[in-house]
Order: sequence, then C-alpha cells, then structure tokens
Amino acid sequence: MQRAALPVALAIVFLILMVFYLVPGINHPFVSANPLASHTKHAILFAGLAVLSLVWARFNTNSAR
Amino acid sequence: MSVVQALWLAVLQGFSELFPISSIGHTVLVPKLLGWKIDQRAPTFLPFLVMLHLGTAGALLLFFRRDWLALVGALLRSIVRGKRTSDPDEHLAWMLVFGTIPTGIIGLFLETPLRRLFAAPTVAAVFLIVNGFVMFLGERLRLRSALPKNGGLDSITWRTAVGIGFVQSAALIPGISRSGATIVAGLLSGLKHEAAARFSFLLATPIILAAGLLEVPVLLGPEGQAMLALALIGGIVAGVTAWLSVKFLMRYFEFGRLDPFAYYCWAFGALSLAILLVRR
Repeated sequence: MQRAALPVALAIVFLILMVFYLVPGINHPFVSANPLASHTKHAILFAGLAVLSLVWARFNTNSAR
Repeated sequence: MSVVQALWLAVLQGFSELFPISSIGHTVLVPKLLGWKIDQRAPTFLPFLVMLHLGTAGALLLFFRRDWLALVGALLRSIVRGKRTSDPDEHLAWMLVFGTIPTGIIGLFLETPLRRLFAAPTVAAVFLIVNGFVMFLGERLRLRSALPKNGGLDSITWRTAVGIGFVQSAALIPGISRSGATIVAGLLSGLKHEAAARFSFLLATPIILAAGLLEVPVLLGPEGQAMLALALIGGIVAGVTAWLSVKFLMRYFEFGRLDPFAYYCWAFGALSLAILLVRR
C-alpha cells in the first residue's frame, strides 16, 4: 500500500489544481487570457494527470501483491 | 481572408505539419512574404485554424487507424488488468502517454508567451535556419554513434519517451519543426529512421487532436458560424494534404534521411530572412 502513497498524493494535488482552475474569480497563474475566468483546458489537463496518477497507484498496488 | 488564401493556408498546414519544416514557421512566413494582410490572432481566424488542426489529426488517425485501434485496446486492457505486460502494443501505448505528458503541460502553460515572444517573421526565419542545423547535426551525430542493435519501437524506454515529449515542446517556437525535433531525438536515442518517424507521427496525433477539440466551442460561437463553410473546406484540404504527406514520409523514412529537409530549411529560412530585411 505504501508504494501507492506517492501517486495517490499526486492525484489529490492534481484534483485540487483542477478545481482551482475551474473556479472563477480567483487569480489563476500561467493562463493566456483573463486570469479571473474559469479555465477549462487547464482543468482538463489536471483531470487527465489525476487519472494517470490513479492508474499508476493501481499498478503499484498490484505489483506489490 | 479570400478563398484562395484559405486554400493555400490549408495546403501549407497539411504539408508542413508533418514534413520536418515547421508548420508554424511557414504559416508565419508565407503570408508575410506574399504580402497577405491576414491577422492570425483575430478571433475570426481561430475557427479556421481549429478545422485545419482537426483535418490534420483526422488524416493521422485514418492513416494509423490499425495502430491506434491496437494501441488503445492494449492500453485499456492494461488499465483494467492493473498490470503491465510485455505486449509491444501496450508498451508503445504507454510510451506515447509518457511522451504526451510534458508536451501537454508545456504547451498549455507556455504556448501563448512563446508565440508572443517569437512570432515576428524575422525570428521565425532565423529559427527555421536553426531547425535545419538541428536536423543536419542530428543526422551527423547519429552516423558517428554505433548503429543500434534493435532500433525498433519496442526499444523505447519511459525516459526516452518523456525526453522526446520535452523536445516536441520546442515546436512551440515558430521555425522549429515538431516532427523534425522528435525524429532527431528518436534517432539520437537509438531508433531507426522509420521507427523514429512512426513514433513522431503517433506522438503528434493526440496533441494536434486535443489542440483542435479543445477549441471546438469556438466553432459553435458567432465567429465560428461566420467562418464555418471556409473552415470546413480548409479542414478537408488540410486533411487530404496531411494524409498524402504522411504516406510519402513513411515510405521516405524506410531509407531516406533528414539532410534534404535541413537544406530546404536553410534555403527557405535564408531567403525569407533576406527578403524581410531588404523590405524593412
């Protein structure tokens, strides 16, 4: 289970970043247009990274068995 | 933008996106050299650009349809199983995932600042010459190193895939070719020309497709509606040109090398630079 800790932690960070870029009214860094708007493309990227981190966690859990 | 200009730009995109000669560099330089007054940052130009990308990605998906069906199937089976096996399709699918991650992150965060910084036609001409040197030196370095024992796609490691993904991001600079940079990176990692080209084209597909799909809402907006017919024709023309280009290049890289493209980049880059400097 320990081997899955890092990818799960990463997945949580990516999910938080996904929500952060979706919420309007916050000053979003590293965006090309209005920083206060909702940024779907950034949110999709972080959602994808979160999914990949969870897949990584699943692989690690299975290989430890 | 007239219909003739739109068709020329579509042919240029489909052709230069896959040939290692920088599509962004050509779409910056050619309209400037021909004196076309096209504002490529205008909101009305975006729907057209989206369709060109979708056309190119569609052509790549169609050309490599058997590969993609096998790769997606192998990837899904691997995820469901929760384990990696020695299946070559599964290996390649994961390498494409690893390679796409750095390009996706860098592309999303740095595309606009890099375009703003390097969008001037003179800068694009200089980087096109640099692109020629990258391909020429890549071929020379490859010739000096020992010939790879395998050189196939199954020899790619995750580190190589991530490295090629990082290199692909250099194509955000107008004048630097995405396919040129990734093929050189593949060659220097020990791949054969054909395998490096195949990996480059497969790696390009998700990024080009995502660049198009993420902007689809623009097509449904008022600017998109106004440009829809021209954008659709542009997308089809870009797709047909891209399909012919990839068909030619996959055959060419069975025996061919990058040198001729390096000579072209030097010649076109130098000529463009000279014209732009004289016109100032």
